[in-house]
Amino acid sequence: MLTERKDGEVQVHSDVSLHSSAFCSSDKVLLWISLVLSFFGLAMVYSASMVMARQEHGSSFYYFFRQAMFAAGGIVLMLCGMKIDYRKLASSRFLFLALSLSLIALLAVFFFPAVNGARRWIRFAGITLQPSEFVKVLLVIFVSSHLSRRQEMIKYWRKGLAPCLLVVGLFALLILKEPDLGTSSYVLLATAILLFAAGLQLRYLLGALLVAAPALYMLVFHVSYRRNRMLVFLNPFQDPLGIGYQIRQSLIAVGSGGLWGTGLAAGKQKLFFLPMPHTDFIYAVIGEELGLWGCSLVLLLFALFFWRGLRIAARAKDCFGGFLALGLTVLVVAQALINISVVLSLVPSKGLPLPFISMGGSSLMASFLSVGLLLNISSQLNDRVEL
Amino acid sequence: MKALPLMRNDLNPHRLLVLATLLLFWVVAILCRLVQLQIFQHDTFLQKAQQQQQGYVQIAPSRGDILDRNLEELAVSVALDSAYCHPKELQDPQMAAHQLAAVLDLDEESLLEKLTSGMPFVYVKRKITPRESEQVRALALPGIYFQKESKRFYPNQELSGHVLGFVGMDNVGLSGIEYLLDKEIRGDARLVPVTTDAKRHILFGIPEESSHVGNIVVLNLDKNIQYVAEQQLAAAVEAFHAAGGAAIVLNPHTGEVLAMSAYPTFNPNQYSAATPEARRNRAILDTYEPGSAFKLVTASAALEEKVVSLEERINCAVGSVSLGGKVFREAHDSYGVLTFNEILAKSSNVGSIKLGLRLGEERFYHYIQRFHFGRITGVELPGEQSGLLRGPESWSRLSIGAISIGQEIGVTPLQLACAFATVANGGEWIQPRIVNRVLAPDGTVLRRQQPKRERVISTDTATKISAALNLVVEQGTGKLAKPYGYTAAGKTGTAQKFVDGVYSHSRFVASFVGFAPADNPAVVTLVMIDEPKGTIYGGSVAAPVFKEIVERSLVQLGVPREKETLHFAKALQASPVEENDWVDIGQILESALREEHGLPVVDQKGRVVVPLDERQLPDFAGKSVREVARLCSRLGVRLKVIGAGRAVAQRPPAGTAVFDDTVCEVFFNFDPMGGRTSLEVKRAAARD
Repeated sequence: MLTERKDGEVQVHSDVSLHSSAFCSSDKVLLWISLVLSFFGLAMVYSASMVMARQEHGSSFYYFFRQAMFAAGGIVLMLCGMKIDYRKLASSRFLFLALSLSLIALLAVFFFPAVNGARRWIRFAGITLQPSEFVKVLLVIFVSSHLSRRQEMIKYWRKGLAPCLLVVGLFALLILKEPDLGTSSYVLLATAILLFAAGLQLRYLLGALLVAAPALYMLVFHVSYRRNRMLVFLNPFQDPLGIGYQIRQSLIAVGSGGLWGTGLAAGKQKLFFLPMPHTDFIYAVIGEELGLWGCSLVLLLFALFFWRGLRIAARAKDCFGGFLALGLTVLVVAQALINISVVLSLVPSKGLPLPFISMGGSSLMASFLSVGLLLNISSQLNDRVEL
Repeated sequence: MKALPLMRNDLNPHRLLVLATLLLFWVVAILCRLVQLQIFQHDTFLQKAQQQQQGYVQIAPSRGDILDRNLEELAVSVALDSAYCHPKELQDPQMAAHQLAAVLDLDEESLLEKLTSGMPFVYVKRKITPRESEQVRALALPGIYFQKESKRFYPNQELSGHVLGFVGMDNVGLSGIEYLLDKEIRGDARLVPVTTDAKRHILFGIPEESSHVGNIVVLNLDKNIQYVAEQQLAAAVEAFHAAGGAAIVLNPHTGEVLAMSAYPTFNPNQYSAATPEARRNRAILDTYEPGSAFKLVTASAALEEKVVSLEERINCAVGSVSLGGKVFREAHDSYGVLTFNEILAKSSNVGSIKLGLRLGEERFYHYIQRFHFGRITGVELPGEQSGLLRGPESWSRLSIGAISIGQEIGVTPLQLACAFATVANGGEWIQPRIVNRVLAPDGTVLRRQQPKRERVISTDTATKISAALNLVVEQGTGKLAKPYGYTAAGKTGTAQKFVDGVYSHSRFVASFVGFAPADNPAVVTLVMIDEPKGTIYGGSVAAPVFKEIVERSLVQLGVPREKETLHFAKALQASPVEENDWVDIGQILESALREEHGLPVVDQKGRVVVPLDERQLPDFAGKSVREVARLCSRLGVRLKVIGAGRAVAQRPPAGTAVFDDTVCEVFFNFDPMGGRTSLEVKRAAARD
């Protein structure tokens, strides 16, 4: 069914049967996991933000309604992702256009007022978008496309690895400038995972790590708030009201939840004890209100997501689909695990939201877009490959 | 970029497996961490969470009600909003100050100063009205919050304000019962656990049941009697352009204070608008010379000590006397010879002084003390005055006489009312009590004070004094005090005020103290009018007030009206009695002293007055009707005139001993109607 055009792009025959069956044959489990996670996220956003919303905006539903709106937008994006054949995304024309637009968006960010000292957002018509969330997805598409084209070449530095790292590095640097070390290093991590999966020799990865380590050290220990976060991570209860406050409150929330939690919406840590309860620390609210079973359930859903994603990656019909599926899955799941680890003080504090659950339109829509693409790939599986 | 053919999917399966394993380890690590935090360290974190989430607020208790004896509300607490501000949360302090000042009637500049003072918490205005609260809420200003505070409210406004007192902004009693029983009424401030957020704001409100109410105080006051007392007192003070006054109604058997009023009054709801003078509870704070009303004490002591008998006739006629180079003159007509009852009924100063002299300083002082003068009665009101009573060691030679007629001694209205209650209840001094009982908020009785009683005089003496005081009302100086349908007993008092070292001849305290019904008193009532203008006598200023208060009190208490019967001997002829119960003490006293020491007493014209120690009917033969009438009047004998012209016969005959109830018939030589009396002539004429 695939034909090769002169320009090298892969084009699927416009086949009505294929399109109509795209939805039917896509991974329903993954779809349901995503929907359950996002609806659960809506409930948690409401629970975590209702008091704050009432105080700041006069309505306890303020954040809930916004998030619901973004969820609707996300589902539309997901449907789009399902409809448009993912292979079109591998075209250099699309990639060039998208990367250029992203570059402009990432530069435009610096012309908007800072929030909490960071310029990560673009505002228009009352909607706030965080370009870096979409850039993450785009870079995964780019790297996947690059790898699928030059899989053999990645063994060679100049022709294979260098152009890829150059583009990724440029975007990572821009994101770092916002400043958003979390997303920036996360983009690099996702790229590294894709390269690892593509069979890049380990010495390259170790070498990159050797180069990155001092840079990371500089970035962490020469920026005071990051250094503090690191010190807090090492000893969270030493300075309860100072810099350790956030992580201490997070642990209190999770720990006080116990096995069954206080019940949905009955938590008290969100009453301004826990900073950012509806965004980065929403998992702590889940821990307090739903206890161990709620936390485990969320974890299980992300593990299932990973399993379904990996399954799609392994069974993808083509190399691009495989890389893309793996990259998107990693993008969602690794971010979730990092967020949860931060909340549980397993890793130092990072500003990464919990996909599908945390308040944040861009993150939610990017996640739904990822799922859309994954479903797209899953609808065209190669049945012979088993994982 | 040169196009490359699309590669087959050849993701490295080993590496995918490595990735999956790594991720699995990660998930397991997170699960372990969750178990560690939520199972093993759950208790520790729960404790920490509660520590920081649990806040305590001090709930200001709501003051308990003050009720009258019929459980009518005299003071209640209402919950009002207090508007306060966290200035940091204000967006535009200037605008906020402007809007708030307009709504709450505040000074804009001082409010703005408060809001920008940098304090984390300021009251905008406390205890605002529900309407104001609504208006402030409508402004919807950020940083403005409300707090329920309880405010004292006195639904009857001025009524019994002096007794109740008032409370300050912080619900602390500042005077009266509110002050004295503050601890009991206020209740305990309670620390109530509440859920707070990290900004220490209280969430979900304060639990309703935690609002704590103080104890309830039930007073002995009767709202209706109190109302009558205040109304009548105010009317009298205003009618006589007096400086002030006090009225007290007591139950003489229990010491219960049924009414205690003072004038001028004040409204405890707006206590700050009242002058200190208006806030004075004159009933316990004014010390004044009681004047003739104090003769009750003199007479009671004399009768109890048996230095006088009811039958004894005492020469109360005195003239002017020259003593120590100084000439004392009698200002009034003398009464001549008086019985014990007449001394009280006519308020004879000379008679009273003589009784005092017979008692002697020590004994007299002893009785004054037993009547609880010179010390506080212990009524449950703050600041009660003890009056002024000097010991006999610091008395001058004239003091005993002065005190006998109620001078040189300072009493409070309440002390004097209690002295009358002692007589009224049969001789026991009883402690006056404002507070009947204290109740817990649930209604259980916490405290019911038993009155202190001390016997002062015998029941017999008390009965005799009561009879004499009854005569005061029936026939003596206190006739205006007689309530309609009831008998009453009492004593007038008109005292000169001691101003700048001398007794003023223009400033008086007029009073009437007594009880009713005379034979089985239900109430003792005192009325004191300070500095009445125009009429100054207790019998004309205070007695009518007494009458009104007693009449309505007895009706309120359900005491049935009696038929008008005189319970005591109709001994005295109902001749009008001059009000002369304020006199120049020195003059009278000197005369009395001379007589006691056997010196001749002279009358106004310098003639020696022959004491009529024995009351015998003289021989009226040949005397005119006028002369006979004068003699009879002087003897206290009732005269029945038959005929006209010169006396020709009499019954009983001359030389017969006479008593108060003796009626003497005298026949005169001119009988135009042929032996019929003039009255009979008139009746006959009417028949014809």
